[in-house]
Amino acid sequence: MTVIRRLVLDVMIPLNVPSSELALKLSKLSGIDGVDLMIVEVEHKIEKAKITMEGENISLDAVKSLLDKAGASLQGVDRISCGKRLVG
Amino acid sequence: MLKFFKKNAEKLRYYDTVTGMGKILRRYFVMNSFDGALTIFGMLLGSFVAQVSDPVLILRIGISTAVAIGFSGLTGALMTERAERMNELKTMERALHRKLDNTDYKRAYDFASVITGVVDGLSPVIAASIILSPFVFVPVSEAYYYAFGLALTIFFLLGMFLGRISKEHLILTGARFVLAGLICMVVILLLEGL
Repeated sequence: MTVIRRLVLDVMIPLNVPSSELALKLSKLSGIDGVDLMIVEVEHKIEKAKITMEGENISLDAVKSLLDKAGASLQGVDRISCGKRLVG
Repeated sequence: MLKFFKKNAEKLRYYDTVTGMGKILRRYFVMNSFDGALTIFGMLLGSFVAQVSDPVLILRIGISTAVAIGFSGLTGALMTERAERMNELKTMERALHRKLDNTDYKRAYDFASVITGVVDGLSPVIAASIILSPFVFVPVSEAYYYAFGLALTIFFLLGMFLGRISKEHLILTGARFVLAGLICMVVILLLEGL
């Protein structure tokens, strides 16, 4: 079975949504073992973040839905690693 | 109500973080409680000077006044807050290049508008009802004095509440509110004397 083991997303988050809370919520999703959220740019109303997730079976739909509900805007998938083991 | 807040504590905390509604609610609560208390205080002073001795009449006028202030607060705050929040939301939608309908983010903003209206509407009614309550339980001749005492106590407590927020001397901030009430009383009595 092919699963997503690592996902790197480019996301815009409203400044008044605590990014720490968003990272914590993502880490609680099933199939995710760890989350790294790095702010790369802060603008007037938003901040741009690079979110890296690793796990045994990451559900892209669940991640997208969580980000959507939180009011974040997914700009793109920067990196996606699938398969039986992580490469690179 | 308490059960609702306990059950939804985490959600409410999130809503507060997103919208900053806690500070606004605090402000509205003090502002409108004072508004309601002072209006009823003024009304009672007028009745006292005019020697109105019918408690039912006082209660009727007082309750109508309180409801009117409450309704004004509810609708006013609901509409102004909604307009402000909608504006903020649209600005955010432009910044994010996406619509925010059906998100927790939007729900937080909607909730903030509604709860602000509710607090704005209820706080003057509660303050006014407390001040009017002696007219239900004691004879009119005494009720006036109890009501004035309650009004000044509410002014003082509201002042103290603000003092707690600003981390100032509680007695001093409480006294400031009482002074405002007393100045209002002097003005009303002077006007009544004309």
